[in-house]
Amino acid sequence: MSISTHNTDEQTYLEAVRSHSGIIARVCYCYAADAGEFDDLRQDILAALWQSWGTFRGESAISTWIYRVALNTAVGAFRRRKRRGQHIPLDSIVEPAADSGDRLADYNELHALISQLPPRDKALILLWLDDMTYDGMADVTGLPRNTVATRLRRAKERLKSLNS
Amino acid sequence: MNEELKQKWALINARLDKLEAATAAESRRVIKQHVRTAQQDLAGMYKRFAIFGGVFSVVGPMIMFRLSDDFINPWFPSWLIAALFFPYFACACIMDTWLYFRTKEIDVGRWSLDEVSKAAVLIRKRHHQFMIALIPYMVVLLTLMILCALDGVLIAGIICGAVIGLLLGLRLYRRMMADLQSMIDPEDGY
Repeated sequence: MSISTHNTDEQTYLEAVRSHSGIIARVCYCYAADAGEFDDLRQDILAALWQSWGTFRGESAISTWIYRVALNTAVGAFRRRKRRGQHIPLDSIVEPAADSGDRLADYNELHALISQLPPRDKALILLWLDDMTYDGMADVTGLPRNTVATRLRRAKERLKSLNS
Repeated sequence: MNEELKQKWALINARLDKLEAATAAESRRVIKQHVRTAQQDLAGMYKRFAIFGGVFSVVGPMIMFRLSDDFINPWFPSWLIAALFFPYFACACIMDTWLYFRTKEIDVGRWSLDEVSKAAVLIRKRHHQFMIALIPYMVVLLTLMILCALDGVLIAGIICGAVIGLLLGLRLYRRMMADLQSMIDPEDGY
């Protein structure tokens, strides 16, 4: 009985992760410097999600829960990883589109911009790009709503100045 | 600018969404291979230290009481040697138990980035405070044992043990700090 329950639970978890894999990939994209870090960070996030799955009670939306675990893991994790000898470009992790020219440039340009932000500002920009509300951002980051608005505005201004 | 960023983001999302199969495969591997998080690693180390401290707070004084008659200068009473060892291991046990429970209670699924980071900063602070209390105590205890030892072999043994313990301790300390760092937002301090 317990094995059966455990397996069902595992299947539910795997299904939840599969259907929200885009969130995990987007967090990794924002915090990883290259493809090697992307893989390492994805493993760390998946381990944290599985560890935390037992305490998930559905009090928040599953997407909010995944954002919270993923960002909690990513914010400090980049300093734990050792520098790799070989640098594999981040754009190598996804299939290039047929009309790859401009899109590849966009892909690298946006990553270069985001990578210059401090970790918590990266989180706010990521949540904003994913159309999360200020209340949702405050819930995930633990910052007051007004602080979220102020910091997000500053982060956007910084992105703008970096882009110009 | 905002619209331009969102448009680029939408293009990137379309590419990142193609990683669904790879992420699903990785999540199965993580479960199968029992990949541990930094938090689990850290809690495991504190738990082992707490158990070690608890066992040695009982066994340590008993061993010292038995050995002190043969190896320690008679002017230094056996019961005092045994009594000095007890508080060290008992305090280490209590401190590591506290650190274990504080580490274990961190819930990355329910706590915000701010809460997790602040909890990890507090654990790191307490860890260092406990070290500041325990390391001088151990230095005094070892110095006392060296001064009271009856022969050179025992002195060499104490010094060798202290050096090996120090090296092992430094290695574990670096690992624990790396685990803690991975839960701390750089804005809350390195």
